[in-house]
Amino acid sequence: MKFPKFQNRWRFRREETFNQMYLLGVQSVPIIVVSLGFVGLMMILELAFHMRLVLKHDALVPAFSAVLMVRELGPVITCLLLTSRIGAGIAAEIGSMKVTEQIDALKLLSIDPVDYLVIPRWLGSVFSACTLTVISIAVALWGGAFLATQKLGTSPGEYFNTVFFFVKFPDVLRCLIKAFVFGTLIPLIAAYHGFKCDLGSAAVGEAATQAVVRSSLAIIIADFLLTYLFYAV
Amino acid sequence: MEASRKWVQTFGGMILLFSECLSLTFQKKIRWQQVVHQIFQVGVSSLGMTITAGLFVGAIMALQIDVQLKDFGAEAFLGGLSTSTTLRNVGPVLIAFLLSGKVGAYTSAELGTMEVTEQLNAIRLLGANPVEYIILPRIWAVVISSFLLLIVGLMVTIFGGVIFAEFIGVNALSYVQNIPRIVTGWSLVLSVVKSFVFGVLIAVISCYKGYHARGGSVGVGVAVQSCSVTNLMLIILFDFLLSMAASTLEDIFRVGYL
Amino acid sequence: MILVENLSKTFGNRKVLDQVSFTIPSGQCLFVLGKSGVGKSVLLKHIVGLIAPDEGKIRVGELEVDVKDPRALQSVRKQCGLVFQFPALLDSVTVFENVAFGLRARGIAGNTDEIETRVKKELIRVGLEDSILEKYPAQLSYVAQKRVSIARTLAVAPDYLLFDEPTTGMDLVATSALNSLIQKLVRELRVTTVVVSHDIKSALKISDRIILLENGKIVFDGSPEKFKTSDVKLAREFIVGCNYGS
Repeated sequence: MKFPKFQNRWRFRREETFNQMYLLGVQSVPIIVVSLGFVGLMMILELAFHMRLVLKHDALVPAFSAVLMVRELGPVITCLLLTSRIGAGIAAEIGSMKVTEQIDALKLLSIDPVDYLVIPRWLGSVFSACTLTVISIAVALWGGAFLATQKLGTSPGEYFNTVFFFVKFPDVLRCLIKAFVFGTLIPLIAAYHGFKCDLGSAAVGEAATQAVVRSSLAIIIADFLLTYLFYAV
Repeated sequence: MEASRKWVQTFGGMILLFSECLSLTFQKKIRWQQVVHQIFQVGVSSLGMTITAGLFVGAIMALQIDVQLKDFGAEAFLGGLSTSTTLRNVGPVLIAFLLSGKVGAYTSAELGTMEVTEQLNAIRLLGANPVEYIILPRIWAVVISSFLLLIVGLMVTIFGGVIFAEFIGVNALSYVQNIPRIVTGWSLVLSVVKSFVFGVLIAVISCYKGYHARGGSVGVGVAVQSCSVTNLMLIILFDFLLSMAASTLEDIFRVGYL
Repeated sequence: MILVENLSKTFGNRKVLDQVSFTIPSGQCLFVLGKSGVGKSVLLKHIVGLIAPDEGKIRVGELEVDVKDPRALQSVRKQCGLVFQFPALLDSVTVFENVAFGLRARGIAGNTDEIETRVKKELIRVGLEDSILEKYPAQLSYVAQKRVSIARTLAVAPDYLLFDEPTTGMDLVATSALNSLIQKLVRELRVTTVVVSHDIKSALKISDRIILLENGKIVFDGSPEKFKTSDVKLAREFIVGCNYGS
């Protein structure tokens, strides 16, 4: 029922969507890369400590670290970083549009503000979340490789062999699903707070802060639910 | 290159602000009443969020570790491993993330607004030092409340783990009994040190960013966002540095070898 | 007196102040006029050392304003009171604490009773009542907040009073009330007053002398009467605008 209209709208929104993908995704790359690099290093250290403690040998450290990155920390930390970058921005943008009555102006032009504002940002956010998660996991694994060769005495070859042996395709798929879900939560919660913002510039700041806090909590809760769904059911 | 110059400037600025506050503290110029007032403003309202986060983080880690251990039939170690990993790492980082979002954003927004409405200039002109009157109590308040909230949050993660363990059929008692066998004293120390360091980071970064906000309400927004991002990155960086330090010390003293 | 010599300041690629020089004798009420955004506030902030000039120097009384010398700066600021464009009241403390802030910070008044007396005196002088003492700034109207900020500045008894756009954003009734207050203060306290504004009517009404800034330079410097009959193009525009309103 919506299809013919959808194609017209898509042509109209395409530029805005790509714009959002660039703003939200591409510009976040340096921050994500640097941060997740360190997370990768940290994982090796911690797992080495625990493996030595429990199993007395550390041959499995690369494998476990990779698995935990892909299943858990990769999507969660990447998306928490994205929340502060894009969640606050979207909430503040939409909030100040509301305060300056631009949202009303859109409605009077028969443009649905949700369609015009939220959809491109949602697509941009999901795109960013998924691609950045993949990039960040790659970076973390590289960082881990570096540290593993220094501290654990494995060779890079061995490292990547064990990694690819233990990380299976379903894990990767679930990781992307998590990224997709988190990437959806961020703009939706942010836009909600933007739209419902009170008038006044202090309120815009409030909306942005609340958006970030609620998105972060939502990501953690959603992570729990998804992990349970994927691995315990 | 421009970006790295800015980073160096920011980092340097923060160290200067921090040392100014330290020296003011040693000169006994804190108004503790103000500090307590700020702690209530900022800390108490974050308690609910911290506890919720703690419960879920504890549960998530218990779940993930359980899945991994099942492959090896080593579920007996669930209690200890899950608690140890959470306390040493995942717990402080994730809870600090949330705190930087709430406490950090609130403080930087408040200070930023005071700066752009010339309140801090007015204080300067009346012959007082805005760092002493306004920033110092806030830094202390954020350090103390973040530290306490992190400790509370970490304790709650243990609860979260235990509750979840019961839920999936692992005996709660054996879960808890396993904890002291794997969680070493060093791990606890590391956890507390990280909580303190993250508290200091959140305090200094959010006060610095708010203090240096420029350019009206847009400037305040920029300051808050910059504060969030800087917080997250530096938390991760210091998490790594502290883990590295702990790892080196543990190697030296051969701690943690059963 | 205040001496400004060859003051220059550039922001980005805009030269906001270009070799500006003038002297303000004691007791004079000077209005600095210009279009919005021309750099009048910047000039004022130089005088109290909140901004450092690219070139030139400023002397307040006997002291030179040097941003790098904190002690000299403190002495200068003790003599100057600047009332900001925004009320700039500390929103986390009461009106009383706001007005008393300067007194406490400088250790001017001794015990609490003395502080209380002085605070009340200043509030009465700016036309406010005791009842607002325990209120917070957010609970007051914008005009009342402005009055409190003036009281705060007066409480430390400055030798020079500087106003940054005092009547901007206020309706005619409030503007006229504030003008009367400034006039009263100038007469009562006999302090040197510098008012930065783009409100030509107020300038014509209460100033002793008008300086007009355009593109970083002084294009007119003289009495209000001379201003009305001046040949300077910008001055004529201001006069026309003023008459158009009435």
